[in-house]
Amino acid sequence: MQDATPSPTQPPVNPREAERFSRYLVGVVASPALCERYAAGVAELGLFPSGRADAWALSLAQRRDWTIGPLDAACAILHSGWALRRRLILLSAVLEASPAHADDYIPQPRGTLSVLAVCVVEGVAGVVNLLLGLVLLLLAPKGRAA
Amino acid sequence: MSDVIVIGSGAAGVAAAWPLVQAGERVTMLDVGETDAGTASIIPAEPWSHLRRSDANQHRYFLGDHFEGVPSGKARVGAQLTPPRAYIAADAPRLLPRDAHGFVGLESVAQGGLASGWGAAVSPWIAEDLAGLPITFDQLRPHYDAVADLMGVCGQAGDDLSPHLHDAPSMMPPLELDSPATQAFGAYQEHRASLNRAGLVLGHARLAACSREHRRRGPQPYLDMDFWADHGESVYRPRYTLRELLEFPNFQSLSGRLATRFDSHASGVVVRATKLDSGESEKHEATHLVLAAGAMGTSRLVLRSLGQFGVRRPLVTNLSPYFPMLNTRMLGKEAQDRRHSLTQLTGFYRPPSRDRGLVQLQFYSYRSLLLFKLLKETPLALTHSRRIFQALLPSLSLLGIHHEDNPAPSKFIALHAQASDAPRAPGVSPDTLEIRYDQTPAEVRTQHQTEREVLKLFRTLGCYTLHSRAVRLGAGASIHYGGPLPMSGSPRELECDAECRLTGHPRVRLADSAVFPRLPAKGVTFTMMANAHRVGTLLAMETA
Repeated sequence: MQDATPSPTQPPVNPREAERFSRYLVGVVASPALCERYAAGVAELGLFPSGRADAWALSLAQRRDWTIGPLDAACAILHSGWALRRRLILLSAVLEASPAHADDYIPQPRGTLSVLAVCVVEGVAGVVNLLLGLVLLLLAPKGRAA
Repeated sequence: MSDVIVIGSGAAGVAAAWPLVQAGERVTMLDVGETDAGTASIIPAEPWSHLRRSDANQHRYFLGDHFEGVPSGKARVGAQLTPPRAYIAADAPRLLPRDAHGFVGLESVAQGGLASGWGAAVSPWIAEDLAGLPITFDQLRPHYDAVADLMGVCGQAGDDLSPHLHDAPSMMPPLELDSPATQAFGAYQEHRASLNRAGLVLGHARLAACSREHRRRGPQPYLDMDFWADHGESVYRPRYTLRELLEFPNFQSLSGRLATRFDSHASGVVVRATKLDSGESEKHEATHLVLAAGAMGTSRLVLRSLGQFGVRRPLVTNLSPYFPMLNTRMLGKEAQDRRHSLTQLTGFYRPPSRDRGLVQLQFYSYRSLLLFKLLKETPLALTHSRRIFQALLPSLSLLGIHHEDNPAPSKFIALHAQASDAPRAPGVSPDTLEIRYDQTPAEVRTQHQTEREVLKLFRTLGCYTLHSRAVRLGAGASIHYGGPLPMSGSPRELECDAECRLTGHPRVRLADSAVFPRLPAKGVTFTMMANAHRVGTLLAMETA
């Protein structure tokens, strides 16, 4: 595994970022080893912001936990290439490929009604997050220069 | 000096070499021969679900040591090449420069070639598929049977697919269906008569996989790790035949060589190759040459050796969109853990209109490729999409629709000589292959129409999707190519005759898919192997 040292021109990964993001993704804080693996992945894949709005969204999500979901939802629709969305996908992959969080991804036995209920509840919550995220994006700075 | 040099150790190379070696010919196989650096060896032979919950090293093979298994852009071709299989296509872009537009296909210089990551679906071409070729099904039949025995094929003889296929006498019983496929197949059997009338047939996939022990391989272990490892060696890989070939004293394999050109003359052939470790040039001589470097690789060699730079040659490839489907009969049901990862069901759909060709269908269940790849493609916040897909995963199936392809002026390759002032590293091909692939609007229209008809019929099986949700990875993503050096009854320059002799070069035979002028909807690999076996057999008879 590569170490997490970013290139000299990129900022280091905020050490608390993986903890915040994992709490958002699976409800608990990931172990230090997984957080380290995530940081290594960010460096290896070069998941750094490429514009002002991109950097703003990442920075906001790093500082305000409640904005992660809405910004993720808005990025999923409008900005799938932004660093925030790509880092969340990376962390999701890191969590999924670990014994500690495998059961957050492996299907569990459920009845039909339970499956439908999950889809409806999560779908509605997703739409609410999206609306909030779109409002947040209105506040994003314009332009690409970092 | 060898009797025969075979260039390429992939599916075509080993299939062509087999009858030659059996006949006592001295065969030398040249290839680059990249192999797995060891990732596959760290994967325990345990069920997927058990590994997921217990193996602390799983990130090394599921994600890769350099996170190469975490796609960062759009869904890409070669997604089935998981980190343990990334070596298959890793070196080709460096060694074989190309300039591709509208084409995303892969090439390989690995040992075993692209078939080292083959999905193993076996679809023999029958008479209608061979239309336009100077060979008949009866000429190919014994070679299908020989190759089926060599690789081990399983399937359900005498089912609804049989009229569209040829089932070899050695065919083993089919692999067990997984839970989603069992549900879909049950629905098919309930509505079989009406679906058949509408042009759809469905059955157990014919697979190059052993359901029982065969040639020291198999049976299928049902670990659901087939995209990651070859546990039990149930699923065919060319290296198994290579292993058998190496037991013969009259066969040798020389790896680490990139063949660069050949010269043929009245009494033999000379092949020039570059040794990749030292960069030195080598000369190999034989009485005959069999080219099996893949449709692109063989075309490069022929065009370069004959000095045919800038000449456009036809290119065909099967377009194969995939449709994620909600398999409603699985809602609320628990999927059986014991399963294999390959295609579960195969189908054929014949459109009512005669101007549209047969399409082949492959029905998969989605599980072992992990959820995050799906989440990435979903326009939802990850925390919500994770919970939704976790609940829906047992009901999630994938339908691949494979279309035929015919040559057109907008689909071609051409080799261009390198500018003299552009140095290249030792071993790198001294030219660039231009690849252009554009479908005609009429082709797109008819394919979409056929897809909509298929999706409508699948609703009868309880499988729902939207045509707009298709995953279209692009031309070449099927990894099935053909066309550049076609077989013909009256071959012209840069074509070959019915015995696959290159025009003007009777000592050079072509054994890969470059010889097929068109591709029916059925996958090309099995037929390519059967034809390569035929080429090897005919050559052995000629030299005997």
